[in-house]
Amino acid sequence: MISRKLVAASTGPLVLSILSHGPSYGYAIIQEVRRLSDGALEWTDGMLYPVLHRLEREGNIHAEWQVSRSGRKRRYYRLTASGEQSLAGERQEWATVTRTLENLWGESPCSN
Amino acid sequence: MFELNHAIDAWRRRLDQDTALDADEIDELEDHLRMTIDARLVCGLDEQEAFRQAADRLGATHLLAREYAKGKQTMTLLSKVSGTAFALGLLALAAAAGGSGSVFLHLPSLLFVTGLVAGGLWAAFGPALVVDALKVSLRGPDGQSQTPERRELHLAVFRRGYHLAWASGVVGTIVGVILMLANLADPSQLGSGIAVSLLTVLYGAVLAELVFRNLSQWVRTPLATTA
Repeated sequence: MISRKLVAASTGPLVLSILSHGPSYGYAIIQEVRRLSDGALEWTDGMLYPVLHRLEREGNIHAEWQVSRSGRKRRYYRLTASGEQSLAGERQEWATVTRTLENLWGESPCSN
Repeated sequence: MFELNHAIDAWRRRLDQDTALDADEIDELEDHLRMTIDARLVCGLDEQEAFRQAADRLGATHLLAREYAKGKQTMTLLSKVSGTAFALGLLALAAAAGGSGSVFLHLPSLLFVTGLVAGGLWAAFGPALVVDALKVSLRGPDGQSQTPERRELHLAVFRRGYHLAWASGVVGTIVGVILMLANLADPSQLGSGIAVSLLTVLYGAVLAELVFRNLSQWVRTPLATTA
């Protein structure tokens, strides 16, 4: 079980990254995250939508209603230009953190 | 007999009544709910079980409400403080405009009322809970879980403050009369006794209605519930 803080911190970058591959909607995003993480990241469905709305308020994603194939109206989200910039920033931050951790964990006590 | 659309309608109505979500937000959640249900129907579940699982996955109503509310601070601290300051300012202006404004300012009575209220709240809830309640009321929901129990505690603090404020006015009236009667021999003291009597009620009323009532309302504002 991944800690709540880590899940909360990674939700934004994950959503932005998935949307960078093309517009999508909430349900599909959750399924994609579950698939990509082999089930390790099981988001509580309802918690994703406030995150999506926050990203929309921040201007990182754009939302619009579309009519789905079944005739139901569905909210689609796509990345904005400023969203792409935010994503690039997040990638750098995460790369820095993971690189540092990997350096620390890669060191064996008997390294020469 | 379980009817899927009726169940979904009832679920929608609960969300509508118990949260501050608007129609669009509920539409989006309903779309999600139906997709989850469809996926489970495909797996062979019956409609009732599919609905129950889908609703569970989406999360409890009060949790949803809290998550959505975090992003919708409906009142800023500034508007709360400025609103209260405006009301108090009007009162002060009304008092001053009469020409004898200083008559309404009586420090001993003010200390009496605020002391009783603060002391009473301290004794009943302890300083930590009172400060916590104030923080959440003024600044909105914080990072900690805003459970219904915690909310009820905060509301209880302000409800008690409200009643204490009025009660201190009543007690102040009695104290004022006692002062008057104790000093009947000296007519010049009569005025101050009556002042204590009446001004404590005034201060208590203002504290109760302008401060504690609002503090309660600010706790309720982010989440529109039936409470």
